[in-house]
Amino acid sequence: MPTKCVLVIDDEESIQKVVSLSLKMEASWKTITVSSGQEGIRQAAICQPDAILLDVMMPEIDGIATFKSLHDNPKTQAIPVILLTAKTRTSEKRLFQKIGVAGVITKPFNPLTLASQVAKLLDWSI
Amino acid sequence: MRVLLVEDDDALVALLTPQLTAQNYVVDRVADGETGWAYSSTFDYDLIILDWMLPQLDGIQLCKRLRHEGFSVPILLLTARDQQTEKIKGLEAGADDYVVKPFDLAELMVRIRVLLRRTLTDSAPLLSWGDLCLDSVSCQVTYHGQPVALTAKEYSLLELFLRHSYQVFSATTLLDRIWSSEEFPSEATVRSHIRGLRRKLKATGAPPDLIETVHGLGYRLKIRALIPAAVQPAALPTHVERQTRYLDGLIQTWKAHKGESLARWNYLVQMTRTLPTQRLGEQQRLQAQQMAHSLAGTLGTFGLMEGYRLSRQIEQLLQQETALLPTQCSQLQTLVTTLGHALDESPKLTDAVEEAPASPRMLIIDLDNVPYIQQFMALAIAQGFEATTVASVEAAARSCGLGASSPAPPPPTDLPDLVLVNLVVSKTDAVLDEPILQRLLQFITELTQQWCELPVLVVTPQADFGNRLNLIRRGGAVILEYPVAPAEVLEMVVQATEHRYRLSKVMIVDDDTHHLQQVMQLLQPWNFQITPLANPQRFWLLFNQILPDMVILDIEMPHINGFELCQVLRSHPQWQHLPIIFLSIHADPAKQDQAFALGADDYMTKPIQGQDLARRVLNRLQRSHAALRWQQATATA
Repeated sequence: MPTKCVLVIDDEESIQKVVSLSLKMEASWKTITVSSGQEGIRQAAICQPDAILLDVMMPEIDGIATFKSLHDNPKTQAIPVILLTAKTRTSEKRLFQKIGVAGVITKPFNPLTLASQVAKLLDWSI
Repeated sequence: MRVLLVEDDDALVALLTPQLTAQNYVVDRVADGETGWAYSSTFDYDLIILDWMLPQLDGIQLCKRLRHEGFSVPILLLTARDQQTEKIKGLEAGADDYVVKPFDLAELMVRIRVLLRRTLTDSAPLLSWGDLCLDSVSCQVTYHGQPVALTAKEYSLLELFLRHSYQVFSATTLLDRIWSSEEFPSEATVRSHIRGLRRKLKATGAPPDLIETVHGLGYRLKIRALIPAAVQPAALPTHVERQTRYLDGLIQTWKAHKGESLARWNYLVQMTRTLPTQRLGEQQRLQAQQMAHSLAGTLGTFGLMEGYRLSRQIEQLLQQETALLPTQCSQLQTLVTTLGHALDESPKLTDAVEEAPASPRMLIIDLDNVPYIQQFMALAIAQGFEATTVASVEAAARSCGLGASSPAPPPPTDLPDLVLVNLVVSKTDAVLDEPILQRLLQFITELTQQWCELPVLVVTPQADFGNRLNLIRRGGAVILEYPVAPAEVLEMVVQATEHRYRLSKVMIVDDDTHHLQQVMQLLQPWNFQITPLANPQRFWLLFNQILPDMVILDIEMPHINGFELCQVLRSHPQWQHLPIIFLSIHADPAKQDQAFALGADDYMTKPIQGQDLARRVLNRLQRSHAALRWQQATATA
């Protein structure tokens, strides 16, 4: 099975690194990390990752606006997006799911099971 | 664990000190506030037990001084003052808990343990490192199931290493942490105790260097000891290897990026410094809220859970759009100062596989921006509630899915867990004007008709029988007469939500220590006071010390099985209605029938999910509480 490639969009460099470390160690997935929504939209169109992990709260273009751009672009609309967000209310989670994201993972996430969580949401096998 | 006892009552000291020492706490005792200050600002303590009335500097002043100077050590206030306002005064001065004299010694010891657990790196009372296991409740140490008899000092050393695994301790630090200031040991004493500890561990089959010497630095637990000897040096267990490798990566990344979190914290510090004199601008508030939010995300990811919790609390306080009250400003300052200390912790792996339960949500309807409601809100947030205030009936209706603008009722998950309606006017302390009052009353009626299980609390200056009856008929669940202390309102709120069950005492008996630890980790987000017990022979002794609100039992255990423990409890008049849940690997109906026949309230089969277990525990506690209230009501009728 070819290795999966996941695009991580988070303005926190430290969190990018932890996510990469988790996905690499747990599932040997490749990751591409970017720090802004704008850069994420560009990279997603170029690299065509298998999935995108997207932080919700980012300066300038936030996660929701980034998701909408990804969704509106024919080149990226088929890529599943999982939101990474700090503890949310049930209503907010429902809203996220309504706009069409593949799932929501709450921060702080368990680093040892992050890859399994992603795999479960996307129906991938590790 | 090192404890400072600041108490001038010699009789009480004579009672408390042996109890604390028996639990392996190292106790320093001083008899006045000034000496208390000298000690607490010189030595590192894990806990300060403080009397209120003290010569020279009283407990409240000392507490305030410690917090003002940035000391985050947990403080337990011990006093004969039992007025609610005094308690608030104590907590506002910075105390973490408050015990009124005369107190129950067993309860005090549990509260000390809970307080320490809250601030410790590893919150579990059951600590383990490979085959080494330390139960901080029963003070028992085992290696590969074999008991290890240790002296008090050896035990304290081992507990410190286990609570701060991966950390290297120099001999000087160990002297400061383990020996009291009245003793005058040298570094040679530390070496001698480490030797003794290693020898005793080795005698039970542990590797001789389980506590390894890091040359030039000190001592720590050996990481390789996590790996069972049988599989060394061949294939390592994947889980342990992954954990170790991952932790290394986490520590390296944190080192490289800690500066960013410090910069954010520094922003919050600068912001709180301007607070008492200056009102926060909207832009500044939003920026600070964003900083706290980012800090929570980062710290949580690196396993700095105390920092994560503090950042969340700061974020919540900054969510409110109205100006902060002086009490909220000082609360914010304390939180930010404490956060600074939390940033010094080392990253660790959090095994919290369950998402923490959502905080109870409360909607406050306050049309006149009444100061005591704001004070109440600050208290509620500190207690873990998610509180939102609305200033109009329309906004309240929208939040609860009522009115023409929202024809489809929202699903119950979108509702708050509780609604508080304030009928008091800010300046006059009278009831609201008639037209607006009528609209609010109508709102209460509609709300309780639509959501009949939603508790509605009303605070009103008119609480005579007629008005009470009117409010009850409209669906109000609790009517509080103004003036009423914010803490008293909060007490009623806590009672009206399931929040109260979260501090319940739960005792878990299972001879499998790994399983015990797993259950404790699963239940940890719900803040129960959990007492684990691996040896059923000690059940009765511990049970009578703790007096738990619920017992969770495994079935198959050596010497005494779970069924027998259940029978012992049910044969006692006092414990015939105590909730008992069985947790077993046996799924066969015969075992389950037997459990229920012996008086079990519930039966769960391993493996279990944390949320499922917590729900069933809460459910049982709620039923038991309701039954108790019914019994009390019929007894008084």
